[in-house]
This record gives sequence, C-alpha cells and structure tokens, in this order.
Amino acid sequence: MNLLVLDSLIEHVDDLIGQVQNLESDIDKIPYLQIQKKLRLSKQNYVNGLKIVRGILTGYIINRAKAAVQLPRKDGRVLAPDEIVYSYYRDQVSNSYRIIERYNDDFTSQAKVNIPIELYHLLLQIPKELGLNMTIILQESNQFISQPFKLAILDAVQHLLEIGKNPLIPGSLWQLPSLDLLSENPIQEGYVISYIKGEAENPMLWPVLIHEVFESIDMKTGLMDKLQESSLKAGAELPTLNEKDSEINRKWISEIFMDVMSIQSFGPMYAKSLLDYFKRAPYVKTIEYPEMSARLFCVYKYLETSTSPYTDILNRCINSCKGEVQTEISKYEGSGELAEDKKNQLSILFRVISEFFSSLGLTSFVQRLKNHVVATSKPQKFIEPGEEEMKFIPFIDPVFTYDRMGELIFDHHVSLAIDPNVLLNVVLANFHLFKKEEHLSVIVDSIRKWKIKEAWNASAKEVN
Amino acid sequence: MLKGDGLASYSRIEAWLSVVASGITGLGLLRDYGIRSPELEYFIEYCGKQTISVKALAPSPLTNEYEPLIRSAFTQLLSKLESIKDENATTDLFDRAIEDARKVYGLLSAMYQTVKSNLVAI
Repeated sequence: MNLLVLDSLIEHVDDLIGQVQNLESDIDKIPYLQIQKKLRLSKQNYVNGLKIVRGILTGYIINRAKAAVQLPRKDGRVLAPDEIVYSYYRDQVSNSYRIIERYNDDFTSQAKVNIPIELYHLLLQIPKELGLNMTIILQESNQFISQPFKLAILDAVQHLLEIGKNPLIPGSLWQLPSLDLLSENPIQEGYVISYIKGEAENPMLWPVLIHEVFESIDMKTGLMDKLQESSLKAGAELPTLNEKDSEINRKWISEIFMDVMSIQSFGPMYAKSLLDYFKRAPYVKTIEYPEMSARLFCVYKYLETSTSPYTDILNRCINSCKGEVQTEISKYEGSGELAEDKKNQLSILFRVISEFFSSLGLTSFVQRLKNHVVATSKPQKFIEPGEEEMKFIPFIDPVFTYDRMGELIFDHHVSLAIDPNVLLNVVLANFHLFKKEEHLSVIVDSIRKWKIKEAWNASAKEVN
Repeated sequence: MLKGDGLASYSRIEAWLSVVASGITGLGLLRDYGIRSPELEYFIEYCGKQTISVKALAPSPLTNEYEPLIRSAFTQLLSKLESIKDENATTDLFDRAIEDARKVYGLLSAMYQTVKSNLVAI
C-alpha cells in the first residue's frame, strides 16, 4: 500500500518508464545495428534507474515513514505516515522528482540526437584500436563532459541505496525489509559523452569529443595510472605543474594528457578546435583544470614537431592553424604566464605523453596519412576479373591531395570514402569555406561511405 | 566539502542534493525523536570524503560562480554539526543546523536550475 502523499509521484515514475521505453521507435530509425545495440543498453539502464527511484519511494521512504509512527516523539505527538513523509522526507521526495525528470531528459537526448549519428564511427574506433568493446553514448547537453552510467544514473541515489540495505530503525524494534534495488535493477557498464546542443552541427568542435572519449577510456582502464607507471619505468617522474598539491598536479597533468592523446589521434586541427572552444568559454585555472595556456602550449608542441613524409596534408593543416595558436601563446608568454621553466616542463610532458601514445598501438594521425596513401596506391583485388561479381568490387579512391580534397568537398560537394580523421582535418583547415547547408551532408556522407568501405574491406579479407 | 569536487554535471549536483536532503531528514529525526538515524550518519561521513568521477573538457562558469557560496554555507553547517554532537544540544541549535542545511540545499537547487536552463550566471 502506498501513502497518498506519494501516489501521484509513483504514478508519474510509471509513466516515465513508459515514455523511455517508447523511444525504442527512435532507436529503430538508426541505420547502424551496433549503435542501436548500445542505445538499447542505455535505455535499459535508464529504465532501471527509474525503477530504482520507484523502489526508493515505495520501499524506503514509505516503509521508514510507517516505522517512524511507532517511535515516541519528544513532544509526545503522534504523526501519521503521510505527515512524517511531509515533515522529514519532503526534500528527498522533491529530489526524486527532479532525478526522474532528468533521467527521462537524458535518455531522450540520447535517442533523439541532432549530432550526425555517423560521428559514433569516428569516436568508437579509438577504444576499438585498444581492443576495448566500450559502450559510448552521445547525449545533447550544454557541456562537453563524459561520465560512466554508474554516475549518470546511480550517483544521485547511491547513498539511499546504501542506507536502504540497513534494515534497522534506531530506537525501534522495527525491522524493515533490506532493500537491494541495484541487484534487481542493474546498471550496465558504459559511458555517456555529452556535447553542447547548439554545436551539434559545427564540425569545428567535433574533435573535442575525442578528448571526452579518452576521458572515458581513462575512467575504464586507468590510462593516467599507466602513463605514470610508464614514465617511472623510463626512469622519470611526470613533471610538477603544481608544487603545492600532488592531487591537483595529477588532475592538471591528466587534462593535458587527454589533449595530447587527442591531437596525436585526431590530428593537428584538434589544436584549432581547442583554441576555438577556449575563445568561446575562456576560464581561469581551477583545482581541476590547468591554465588554458598550458594546454594550448602542449598541443602547439605537436604542431611544432610533427612531420610526415607521405603527403602534404599534415603540413598544410598545421600551417592553417599554427599562426593563430602561436599568436595566442605569445600573449601568455608576454604576460609571464608561460615562463621558460614552465615551457620546459610542458615540453617534457608533451614528449612523455607522445611516447606513451605510441606505446599503446593507437593509430596516430601520421599513421593514418600513411594508411591513406598505401591503401589507395595498392588496391586490393578481391575477385578475379571476368567474374560476374566484378561489379560489386568497391570503388578504390585515388590518393587525394590536400587541394584536391578541398575542391571535391567544397566546390563539387563530393563525398570521399577516406579516413574521417584525415578528411575532417582538411575540412577544418579550410573552414572558412564551410557552409553548413551545403557541406555538412557531404562530410557526413563521407564518414558513411568510409564506414561502408571499411566493412567491404573487412569482409573481403575474410573471404580471401 | 567540495574539495576537488567540481560540480560539473547534473548528477553530481543531484548527489549532493540527495545527501543534504538526507542530512535534513537526519537532523529532524534527531531533534524530534532523539535518534541518530542512518541518514544523519551517512551525511556526516559523506561530507568528509570525496571522489572525482565526472570529467569535462573545461570547467563550467557556473562552478566558479556557485562553489564559493556553497562552500561558505557548508562550512557554517559543518560547525553546527560539531555543536550538535553535544548530548545537551538544544532544540534551537538543531533548528539552526537544519536552517543551514536548507541554505546549502537551496544554493545547490539554484545551481542545478541554472545549469539545467543553461542560463550562465556571470
């Protein structure tokens, strides 16, 4: 039996469970089965989250209110269970309402995204390269942020789950049933990456999602610990950016770590993306984040030191943004924020992280360029000429140069089935030519074509 | 309180709201029934330890705006919690502790609403 005071909220939880489940029709519209599967996992997590809150209302608050009726109050008054809920659990009830609405909002923002769904392909290749089968879900929000489901869903109710396991009411002979709502409604592992809603169709800020992917991988595998271990094995400690507090120092290094991993993986235009974001949302250093200047300096080191003998794409992209980043850094040098000793520390950090990146076997942007050239100069022959199936052999792209890629995308609106990291770097290096209504679909189609080509190549390898 | 804990996401703020709400429950039960409930014990213990689990590209301007206010209100609350450890604590002292807890709750709620509505306070 419920309490009247909670009936309305409990009915509403049931209604929201139905609403979340009905978003299945939106998942069905997504053309990629792997992404559908990940979203279904997320859906189940949010349904379970709602069921947990329902269990807290019915099994925790109501039972405790009924038990409290038996307890003697100091003033001798006897309160009805409804009055006890109102007097002592009111904030918990209103907070439950807030939480269930947020769950519904969150999953709706995952199932009905405005960001091109193809970006999942770009992001998921990073954990795949590390041999990780990770569930990563994109969600519209108003920040770039990543968090595991366990926190996105459970953090808000975690302590009630823990208290609920304790069946004792102090001062009473009452024994409440021990609640184990999490076992009944498990939250499966996965990570939610939120992006700023208004930036969904702005390719310039897509690379910052790579930063969030590395954050998620760090949460899953302890990448930062591995970096420290690797550094110690090499006989060196990570530099000290904050001498007063080792925990803050670790957080600052971790942030730079994600930036350097991102630029090594995505390519030089991550620097431009980060700079643009900082121009929109500048900040002063906090206990969580180092100065923007330290982060910009480290990605600038990439622009300064990277070379590729395979194509001119790397140099052309670097040249398109290096000056702007350099100008920004000069300001910090002029103000004394980037003194020589600090730059030395950051240069060491950049080198250590870059070596660590290579040791993980992740595909660097330079390697992507090499793959781009090799794959297009040595087309694989899947089927003997003359066979009827010849018409199904996928088209083999020629080696596109920086200029040719720009012409095809911006002038001729031709989608190119090449590594989206390479393509996006060229697009961002020519961003002054980008018009959303003309070119966004070309970029998205390119990622789609690349994914199809990858699938073709993978199946051809299986056949051969 | 809030040491190293950037309230970067809705769920982190909700977690604090929920814990503070439990604290209000616990303080009320202690004042009116004289029992130290699990809610109060948890609240006191939680305030002493933190973990970081949310990672964002950059800090939210809201964090910078609200955290000093919340930290200040919380420091006041913590001193009240110390006082009520005394077995002879008066009802008036409990009322003031609950009042302080409500102040923290109110600030967290305001921060939550601001984050939710995307109105960045500067």
